[in-house]
Order: sequence, then structure tokens, then C-alpha cells
Amino acid sequence: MILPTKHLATDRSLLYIGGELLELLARPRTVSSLWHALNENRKKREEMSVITYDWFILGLDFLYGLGVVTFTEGLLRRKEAHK
Amino acid sequence: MDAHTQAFYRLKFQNTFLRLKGNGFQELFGDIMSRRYPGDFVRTRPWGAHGDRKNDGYLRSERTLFQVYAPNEMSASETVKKIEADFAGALPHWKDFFAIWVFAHNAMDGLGPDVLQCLLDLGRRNSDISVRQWGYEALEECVLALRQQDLEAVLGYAPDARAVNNVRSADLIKVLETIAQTDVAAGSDIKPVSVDKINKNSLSDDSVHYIRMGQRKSSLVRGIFNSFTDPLRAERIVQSFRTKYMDLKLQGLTSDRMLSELIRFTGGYSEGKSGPVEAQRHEAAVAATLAFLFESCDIFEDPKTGEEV
Repeated sequence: MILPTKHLATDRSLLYIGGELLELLARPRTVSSLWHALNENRKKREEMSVITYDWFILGLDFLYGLGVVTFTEGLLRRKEAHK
Repeated sequence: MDAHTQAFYRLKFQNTFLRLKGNGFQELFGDIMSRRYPGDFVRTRPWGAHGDRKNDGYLRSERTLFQVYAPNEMSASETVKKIEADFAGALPHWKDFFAIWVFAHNAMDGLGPDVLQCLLDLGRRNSDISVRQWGYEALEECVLALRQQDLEAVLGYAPDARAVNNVRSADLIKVLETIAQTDVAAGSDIKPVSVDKINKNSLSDDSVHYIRMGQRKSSLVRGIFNSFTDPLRAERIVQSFRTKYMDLKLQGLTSDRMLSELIRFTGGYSEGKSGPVEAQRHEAAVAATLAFLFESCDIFEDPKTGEEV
């Protein structure tokens, strides 16, 4: 489910969704705002698959597990890499 | 009858022949012969204390008496005993009416030497009676001589070109939902589809026809997979199919037989009570599903790179 497979399209894999979410977190967002932004982003491109809220949350779990996002004071933020 | 329909009936007959035993096989034999020789073939059935008097069917015009035998497992000694008992049991009742005695059986790969010897000895000891055996090939010949309406009565409705053209997403979704789903981890390598896969697997012309028929609509299946709200549902369906294939492979079945069993596993060869149009579309949807899964799954063998097939 993290990587695409023969029957799991690339844009439905958690890796792809994670990347998409990170892009959308160019600024801090609430969970609902991020969910809304993801749907708007996908609507703009016809070829993109629809994903459910459950799958969106799994995408967030994936990013959180990798340690690349934080959730504080009600906002999701990209964790900046240490220089 | 188009080539796809014929191929479907040959595949279905083979599957039915292999599946049915005992009374079920005898029923099939009677159905085929009654339609092949209407008004000429007479079915018999046990009648109270008299039983069937060792008569499982009589073809009047040929003065031929049939004895049908379709055990779960055919052992040489039991079969020889059966032949001798049935022939001896038929003589007192039917001797004046038959010149040919046929032992009709369900051994797909032919009879063993002991059984053949028994039949030959029987013929030698009864020179006025021709003793014969009918196996798969003889019965298939009768089936293929049936008119389409009789084939439909015996083996159900087959998809034709029009039914395949009329397959819609809703038909495919119904088929996909019948495939058992198991919880398995996702993950198969993304492999390109092998163009020569059909040729590599020694599939008969009938099987090839069946798959090529399904390929006309197999692309619809990909669209349905991508539309599932649960992204892993497609992988679960495919894995169930893959597991079934491996199970069949371990049984040492031929490629044709595996395909036939996979058709049944996918919901094909249905004997439901739906009308002809619905039944044909359902079989066409099964063929499309199977063609898609054949192209994209890790089932059957892929030719090696550069291999000439």
C-alpha cells in the first residue's frame, strides 16, 4: 500500500499521497483544510483517482511515522530538515 | 454459432464431464443422447424392485444398449467386475434387442489395459455382439452435433459476439464481487504484460478463443479497479485469484483444465435461473474478468525475454 503495485495505481499509493500532502503543507494547515486542499488539487486533474478520507488519514500517518510532519496547536506543519 | 460460442461449449462440456460422477453423469449422458437422437434414444430408469435391468439407455436404430459408469475413482478391478456383471445382467432381459453393447464411462484419459482386455474378451466370447466403449471423445462428438437450442438446454447459455459487445461495468462489478476476498498483504512486482503468454502455456484453441473473446472488454476491469473506494480491494481480489491458480497448479492439472476451473471460480458456467440475455452477458463478463486477470496476474507462465514462442 505504500508503494504502487500492479493493481494499486501510483496516485493511490501512500508514497504518492504523502508527497502530495507535503507539497500542500508549504504552509501550516488544519487537518480539514489539508483534506479540502487535497480534494481540490485532485479535482483539477481529471486523471487523478479519488481517495477516501480513510486513505488521506493513512497518508498523514505515513508522513508522521517518517517524522516529516508535526501536529501542534491544531496545525499540521512540515518538519524542516536540520542544516 | 460463432467460433467463440463453440469454444465456450467445448470448454464447458469438458468441465462438466470431469466434474459429474454417478447419477449426475448418467443424467448428463441421457440429456445429450435424448437430444442427439430424438425419438430414437430411450432413457431408462430404475423401476421399483426391477431396477434398470442393466440398461442405462437404448438406441433403437442402432440396436445399441448402453451401460454408464462414472465412479469418483476408477479402479481396474472394480471396473472389470462392473463390466462383467452389467453385461451378464443385461443378456437375460435384452439379448434379442441389441447387437452393440457400449460401456460409457468418465475416464478422461482412457481406460487401463485390464479394462481394455476385459472388453476385448467379452467381445470374443460373444461374437454376435459388438462390445464397445465410449469415453470423452465419443460423447463430445455427440455434444458438438447438437443444435444450439439443445446445447443451451444441456450446457446453458454461451456468450456470443453480441453479448460481449453489450458487457457493461455493472456486469463486471457483479462478477468481481463473487470472487472470494482474503486479507493479504499487497505487493506484487509490476511486470509488463507478456504478449506471447497465451502461446507459451500450451492452451488449446478453445481456451485461446475464450481468452481473446474476453480481451475485447478486459480494459473495463482496470477502470473498475481504479474506481474502488478501497484502494486495496483490487489487490485482494487478484490475490484470491492467484491463490486459486496456485492451488490448481499444485494439483498437476493441464493449462486447459486450470482455465476451466478458474472460469467456474470466477462465477462462470453458472446454472442460475436468469434468462438467456442476462446469462450470456454474465458469461461474457466472466470472460472479460478472466482475460484481464490472465493478462495482469502472476498466473500461467510468462515467456522468458527473447524466447521464441
